[in-house]
Amino acid sequence: MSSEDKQIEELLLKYRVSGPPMGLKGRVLSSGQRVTLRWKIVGWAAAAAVLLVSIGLHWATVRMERQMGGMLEPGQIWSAEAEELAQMMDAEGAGRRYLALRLAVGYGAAQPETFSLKSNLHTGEI
Amino acid sequence: MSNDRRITKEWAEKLYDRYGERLYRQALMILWDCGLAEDAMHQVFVKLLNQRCGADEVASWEGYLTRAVRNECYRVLRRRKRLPAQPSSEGQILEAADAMGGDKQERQKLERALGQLGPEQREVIQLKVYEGMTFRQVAEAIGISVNTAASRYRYAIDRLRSCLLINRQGNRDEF
Repeated sequence: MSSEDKQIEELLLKYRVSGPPMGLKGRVLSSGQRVTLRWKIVGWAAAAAVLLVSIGLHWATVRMERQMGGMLEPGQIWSAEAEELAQMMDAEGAGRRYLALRLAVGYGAAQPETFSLKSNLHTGEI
Repeated sequence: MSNDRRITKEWAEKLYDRYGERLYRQALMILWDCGLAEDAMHQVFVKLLNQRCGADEVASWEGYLTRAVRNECYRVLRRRKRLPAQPSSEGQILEAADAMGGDKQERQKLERALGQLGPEQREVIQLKVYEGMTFRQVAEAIGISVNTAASRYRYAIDRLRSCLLINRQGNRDEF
């Protein structure tokens, strides 16, 4: 061992790792889980993140619903031909909604600039 | 000592009184963070109190608890790798070994240098230097070969020397 190594060992021996804090014995021997301040902060941060994501998703859903709510002007696409087609298919609420959606998609693709998002497809009212 | 195949609180208290301080220092040396070391100690004793085994069933409580604390510390370190880095307890880890108090700057410098080591190297330093174990005893205590224990110690001392030399050259003072 070199003299420098000896010096390092001597330096190490001048100090030592701190002992346990006073209250540790009581905490260690008490039953149940101890929640440290750090884990409390992590817990609250996680809860806040979940809350923010929930609010964001709710906001996005409401926004989308509003857009969907006025998807199509009923008279704009529901022509006599469409009504005839619906009757031919014996389509009730769901069938009519599907047909309206297909017409809306076709209408939007044909006239993307003028396509208005104003309709209430999910209520079944056409 | 109790034979009801369950560790009593009184027995755990005796174990804490006898080995608690040493175990805490061991945990702190591995984890290098006071809060994490306290958590590790707590976990070990909670597990001990919930364990279905009699006090007579363990041949060496010191060895058993040393292993338990060590395992818990490395479990914490593995878990910590997956979490964002937490602030360490630098400045509160080392204390003067005698009543003279030591030099604050020197202590901080040593603490920084020790903080640069890996947990395995610090663990070997703790056992070899502070607990006065031989390499064979260190190897047995932590379940590694004597050569590995010696090389970890060699690496730790070399690393400390280079850290402290850099500090010495940078600060133009002697250690």
